[in-house]
Amino acid sequence: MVAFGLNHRMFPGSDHFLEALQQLEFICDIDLFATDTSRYADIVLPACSSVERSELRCYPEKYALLTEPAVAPLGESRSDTDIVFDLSQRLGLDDPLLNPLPDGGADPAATFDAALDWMFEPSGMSVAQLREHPGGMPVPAPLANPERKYRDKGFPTPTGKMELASSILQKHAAALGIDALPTYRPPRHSLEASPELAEEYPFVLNTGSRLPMFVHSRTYRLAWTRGLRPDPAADINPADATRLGIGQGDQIELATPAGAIRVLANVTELGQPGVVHMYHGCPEADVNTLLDPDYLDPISGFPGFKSLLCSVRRIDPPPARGNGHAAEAAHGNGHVADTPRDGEEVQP
Amino acid sequence: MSNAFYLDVERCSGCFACTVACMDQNDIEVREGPTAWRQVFAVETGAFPEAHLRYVSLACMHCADAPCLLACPTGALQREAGTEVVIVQAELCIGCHSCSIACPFGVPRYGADGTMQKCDLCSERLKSGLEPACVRVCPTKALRHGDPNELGLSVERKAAERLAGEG
Repeated sequence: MVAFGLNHRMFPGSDHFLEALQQLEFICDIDLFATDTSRYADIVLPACSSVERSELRCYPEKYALLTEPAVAPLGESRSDTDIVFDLSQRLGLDDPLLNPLPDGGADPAATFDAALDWMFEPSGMSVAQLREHPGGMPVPAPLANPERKYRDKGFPTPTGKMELASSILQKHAAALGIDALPTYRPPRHSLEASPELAEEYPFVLNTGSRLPMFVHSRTYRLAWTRGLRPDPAADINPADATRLGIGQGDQIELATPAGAIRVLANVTELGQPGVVHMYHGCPEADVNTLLDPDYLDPISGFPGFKSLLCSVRRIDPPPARGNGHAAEAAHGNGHVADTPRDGEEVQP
Repeated sequence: MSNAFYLDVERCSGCFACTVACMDQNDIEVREGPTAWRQVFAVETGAFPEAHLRYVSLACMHCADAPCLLACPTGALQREAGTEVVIVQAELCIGCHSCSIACPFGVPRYGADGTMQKCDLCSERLKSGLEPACVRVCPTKALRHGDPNELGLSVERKAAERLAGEG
């Protein structure tokens, strides 16, 4: 597998994703940074950032701009497109744009320009023209926005109409137990749909509730942003915290049938009573390990990141050894031994 | 001219951009040193469903009659001529924490060497005609800086507009 930016933490059952990756014969990962996932690649190719390469920018005002690199690629890094061209040529792909010379070995910069010129052709613009206008230029012959597009061609549905009741879903409604109309059904794991599960896991777990210092898994590695919340923490309402004997900064365990993580408690009114918020992507406490990989919306396939059940309990601190347990908790691995799924062995 | 920070609590969204700008401007190594010289606090009042949340961004107030200046036994804390900013000279600081006891805002921080450090209102930036880093990045313009009387006037103007029903 060749991957441009491989990130196993962005899906439900991230541990499952990682196990699947390890079944692959070969992984080549191309990324800006060494990531938790790139450690599982056989080869990691460093990609350069957008200031180290040329990039085409197109704006809705029919304006185009070809950026010039501010610095040459650092270290051994290369532009993603150079890597794509090089790979296509080594594989001998039958594609005149990706692999223009019969024996491969085309100059990546020239291949990049030729590919752009091919894309520009209907708009009467060229790479050479764009290079003459480093601040960008209006596109000479922009494609017109089609008017009354849907009246002439209809919508891409079996009836050609905008469907309130989907005729595709209608066809499969009986077999799949779904409705053609968008009706509300409680999530598979919820008080309404699985009351017996809700007895053991009484909280609604909302993952990915935004924190200003984190952007998915990206900014955990930056000391400045990480310093604003160094330890993974879950938001829990003061009423729930009091009931469970949980104080601010106490270590707690969030558990679902799929797994458990240990985090610190952030007691706050930001969380409604009965709801726990936990931000995703944290390497030490990956909340996506608490979702089964198939916990998806049955129609759209979208993961139920914000609609599952969990339990919360306080972890009693280890006996004091003179230097305070808080620091220890803060620097611990944050991961409870994984709860094995039925019939699965957990790798140490 | 004296220099002061002003924070419009109504506008602060708790994005922490000011804190990160402070770390950047002052090369604060979070893993080694204490914390940024500007902090954002979430202050909650009430309980669900009537809970309220406000964010407050705080740093040194550069008080006119600064208690820390009186408390410092070595003269490490001084008022800088020109900018009128309260600055600390680390080489004179003996790490006695007197300033910490005197400061009503809990501003003084102590680095790995035990000497005091704090916000200098980006004195170097002020001298170059630039805004302090935290003010510069504030996306909601909740943080401002300048002469306290001029800041007061602009706040008063907004109050006047509210009274006139235009706010």
